[in-house]
Amino acid sequence: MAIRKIIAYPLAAVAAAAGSTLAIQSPAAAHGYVSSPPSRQALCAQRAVPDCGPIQFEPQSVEGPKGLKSCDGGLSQFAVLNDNSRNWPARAVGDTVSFSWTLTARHRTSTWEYFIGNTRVAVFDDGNRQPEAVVTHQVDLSRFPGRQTVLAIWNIGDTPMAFYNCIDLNVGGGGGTPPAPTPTPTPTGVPTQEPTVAPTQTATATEPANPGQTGAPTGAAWAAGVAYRVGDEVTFDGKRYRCRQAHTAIRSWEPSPFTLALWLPA
Amino acid sequence: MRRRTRLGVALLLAVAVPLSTVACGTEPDEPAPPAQAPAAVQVGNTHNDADVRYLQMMVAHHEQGMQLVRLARTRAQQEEIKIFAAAVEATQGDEVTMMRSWLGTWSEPTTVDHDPGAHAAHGGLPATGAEQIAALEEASGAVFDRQFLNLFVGHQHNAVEMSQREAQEGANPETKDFARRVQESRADQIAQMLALLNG
Repeated sequence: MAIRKIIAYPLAAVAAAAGSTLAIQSPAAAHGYVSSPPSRQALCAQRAVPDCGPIQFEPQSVEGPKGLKSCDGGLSQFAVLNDNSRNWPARAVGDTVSFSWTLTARHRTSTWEYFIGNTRVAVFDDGNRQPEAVVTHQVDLSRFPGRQTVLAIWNIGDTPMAFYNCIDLNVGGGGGTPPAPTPTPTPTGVPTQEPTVAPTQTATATEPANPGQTGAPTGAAWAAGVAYRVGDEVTFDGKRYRCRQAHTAIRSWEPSPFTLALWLPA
Repeated sequence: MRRRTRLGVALLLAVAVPLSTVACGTEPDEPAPPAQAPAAVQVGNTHNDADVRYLQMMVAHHEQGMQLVRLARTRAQQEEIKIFAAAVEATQGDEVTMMRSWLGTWSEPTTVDHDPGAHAAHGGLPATGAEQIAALEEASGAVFDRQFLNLFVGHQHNAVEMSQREAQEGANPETKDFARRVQESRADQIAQMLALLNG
């Protein structure tokens, strides 16, 4: 039921744009979630936390009536989000945190609220406007050091609904993000550029010489998750292919007539 | 979801064997792909309105996505994002060519009447439209990376949603198999992008 509703809305919007006579679903369901620091549903979609169930396929769908204080928006199919025994990894952050949202439907917005326990630590009023291209909020959590679970809520402007996210943090635990002009949500000294992974587009290496990331001897079986570089060769379905476009392999990017942009028969 | 995946494997095998790859002219309005003209996978004639609508919407959706990844390919700060964007540009460029050729096979138009992102009045814009692309063009540095990743994650969620509908309502086997491939590849791209976003 929920799944039907979830996919119905954005499609209705696009179909309407296509000039279709399909009735528009109303009230429309907007969709979105906190992507950074990762909400629990983002960790599921990223597969950083395994066995999450259906939420991993639709992290944008934790929609419930306004006024709840739950991680799962009251949706039983997403109850895993309320399960604190899952040991959700807590992201180390500074005293001020940049929360970024991924939106899949840009609905008019009443407010964005942030809670720790019953304390509302921040609220941003959008005045029933459509959200900015990318929604990022700076929230001062200096009064809440240590391990905390932040409940972030997107209150939709013209429906009774809201979207719920729980974000596990270790506040003051590392990499402060001062509210500078270019805030970086990346905490704890994780370099944003990794010198170890720097294959350029012009590289024509024939030997995958990066044992850590690539780990694929020439002609090894194609595998998802491997970072292939131009010139790397794999075996797939008994045939040999050469990589023509650097990429990290994912499902459906195996050598096939659909992926000639990535692989050509060797 | 799992059920669909298993079914999809069977479909892929069924489709992959008789595929003939036919060299196909580069679309005049397509920027040059990395190498020679992409090959097209042929489509059977059995289809319904949902198949047509899906391919038309996906062509338009892809074209917006291509604008985002073209920006990211040159402007992203993280090298991994550049590589990711270039690979998406290459594969989606071929997908657009393929979808247009399929619509052509069915004598259907390859474009929709309107920009699918231009309908604010309907109350719920999809993830990406002209406004969001324009905003990304103005960003730079670490902000660019974060904006691109958030926009493109949302964009690919939309692609998954459209493809789920095609899987349920479509009739053409090749199109439904393509929709399955989109669901898989975009879900994996989303996972990659969330990992990049969160270092």
